[in-house]
Order: sequence, then C-alpha cells, then structure tokens
Amino acid sequence: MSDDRLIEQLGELPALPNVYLRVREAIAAPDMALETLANLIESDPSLSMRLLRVANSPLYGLATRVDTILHALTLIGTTAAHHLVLSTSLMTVFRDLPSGTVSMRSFWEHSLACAVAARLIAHQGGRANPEHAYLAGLLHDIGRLPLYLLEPLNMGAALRAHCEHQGHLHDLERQYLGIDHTELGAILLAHWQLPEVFRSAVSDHHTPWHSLHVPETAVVHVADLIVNSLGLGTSGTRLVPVLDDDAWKRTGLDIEQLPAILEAILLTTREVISAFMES
Amino acid sequence: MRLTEIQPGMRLAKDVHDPQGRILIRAGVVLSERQIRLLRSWAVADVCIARDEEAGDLGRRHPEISDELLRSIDTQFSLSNRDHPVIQALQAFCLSRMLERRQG
Repeated sequence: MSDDRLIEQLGELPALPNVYLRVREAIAAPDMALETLANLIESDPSLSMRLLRVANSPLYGLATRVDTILHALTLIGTTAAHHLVLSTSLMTVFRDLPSGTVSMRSFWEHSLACAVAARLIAHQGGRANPEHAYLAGLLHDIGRLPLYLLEPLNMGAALRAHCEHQGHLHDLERQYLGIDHTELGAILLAHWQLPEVFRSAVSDHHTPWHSLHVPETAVVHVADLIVNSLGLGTSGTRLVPVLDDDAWKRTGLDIEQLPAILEAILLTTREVISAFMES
Repeated sequence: MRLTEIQPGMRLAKDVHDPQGRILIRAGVVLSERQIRLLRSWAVADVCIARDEEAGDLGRRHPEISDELLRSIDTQFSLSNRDHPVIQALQAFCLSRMLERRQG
C-alpha cells in the first residue's frame, strides 16, 4: 500500500460545489456588494435555509431573529457567512461512507461539535480568532473521509485495532496505511486553496508543537480532545487523545473556566447540529 | 515487570522505547499477543504495567457508580495523560454527566 497512490486518488474526490466557489470569488472582490452575495446564496434554497438556521442558533447569540439572507450577512459578517457556506458545501460533497466504518452523520456531528468548541475556546481564551477557530475545528478531521472512502479495508483494520485499545487511531493509520488523516487533510485543503491558518490546524492538531505560531492549532487540539471526551459524534476515535500541556496553556484558558465552557459546548452543539443536519 | 510475566490484556504504565529512543508502544495501551511478540523481537526485557488504580480510586470515591460505568470511562481515558489536571477535570465532568443521564 503506497501513500503516494492514495494522494494521487485524491484528485478523484468531488470538487467543491460551484455555489461555494462563486461565493468565495464574490467575497474576495474589492467592490463586493452585500446584495450580490445575498442573491448568490439565495440561488441555493437549501443553503439559504441552513444559513438562516445557523445564524439564528446560539452560535451567534443574535438579539433579534433574522429572516433574510441580507440581514444575516449584515449581522454575522461575510467571514462567518463564507465559513457557513463552506461547511454546508462540504456536507453535500461527502454524502456517504462505506458501511461498517463510521456514519457520515456521526462524522459531521464530531466536526461541528469541534467547530463550536474551538470557537468558544478562542472567544474565552482570547488568543485565537473565533471565526478561524470555528472553520479549523470543522475541517480538522476532513482527511479521514478520503481514508474511509479510498481505503475502507485498511481503515477498517485500523479502527478495529483502535477499538481493541492497541493505540491512538492517528498512529494506527500510519501503521496500516503509511499516512494519516492530518497529512491527507492538509493536502485536501491545499487542493481547495484554503488559507494557511486552516492547513496548519488540520496538519498539526495532534502535534501542536509544530505550529507554535498559529494559535488556532492549539485551540483545535484542545477542542478535539474535549469533544472526544464528551462523545459528541465521532470521526472514528473512541479513546481520548493525549493533552499537550503547552497547547492548553496557549489557549489562554484557566482550568476554573472549564465546567462552564463544557456546558456551553453541549448546549450550543445540540442547536448547531440540528440547524445543519435537519433537512 | 519482566516481559516473561506479561499477559495479553495488561495495560502499559509507561511508553516503551527501542534502543534509538523511538516510541514503540505508548503508555495506556492494553497489550495484545502481537504487541508482546513485537516487544520480544526488540529484546525488551522489562515493561512498566499499570495497576489500574484510577478506576479503583474513582470507585472508592463514588460508591454509587456501577462497575460498568466506571469501566467505560476508564477505557475512554485509558490512552490519555490522566495525571494532567485538565484531563482529570474532564473525566470527572463526563462521569457526573453519565450519572445524571442514568438517573434521568
């Protein structure tokens, strides 16, 4: 099994939907009018519905209810809207996983919970950008999807070994496949032309000491560990990873804040999952 | 503990390294027959085995918790660094959340 072959096969994975690419282009344009962006998003009814649901969820804690895309864009801002469109797009790109691995729903529940947790930690700790942390959290395990889709047998064997407590899943991925989800995730993000901050968080969330200059990496490392402890969905991991003490310190959090943050993660995640997942 | 006395199912208390200092098997791993053979092939003579006191301690502190619940939390955190205060706080939070759920 050669990991180069796996990387070559990534090209066969679906591209990001057109609506996302157009939204990204519109946001990057120097003379972008919010109305143009709103019209673009409204051209996709299911995307519009999800964006409004998430904008009205506790994630943004808005004082008033928003019922038009334009109103949502003015209140949550274009960066948050961009990230919401990307998350919704990714969920439509990857629809199913081979049976016998983890369910796609469970994978996205874990990813959304990690996004919510990372955003809250960034907000409370004051060291990382909450919107960047949100998207980095959402994307952190994206490299597992090609592993499940392209190498279901080897990945199934790695999962079984993990469930028999033979080691952490990311170590077993290397053992069984010669590559792990952090490396594949970073390649995917480069392929989709997403910024460096997200690539670092994806490639180093299990090795945060490699990305000391990116505060979002430490935040995602801690968010992933918390979400695995709370058992909110799963991307395959069943056992809580090892906490890097330095990464914990770099989040800016105090251990006394932990119980309140854990409660907030549980509450917000429930709402955000239903906003994204219910059709 | 001498490698000759190790049985499958025992849990490592410390990382096992090869002569170059690379980690062969991490602390917290429950040893399988295959891993014990691997250790023999690396000529590892002694490994440090966990005495599983964490679950026992929790059980003594919370006599109302069933063994099954203790075992599931213990397994979930078995590969983490349980000497870290944040991990201990997380484990305590998860335990109380599970208890609340059981009691409805």
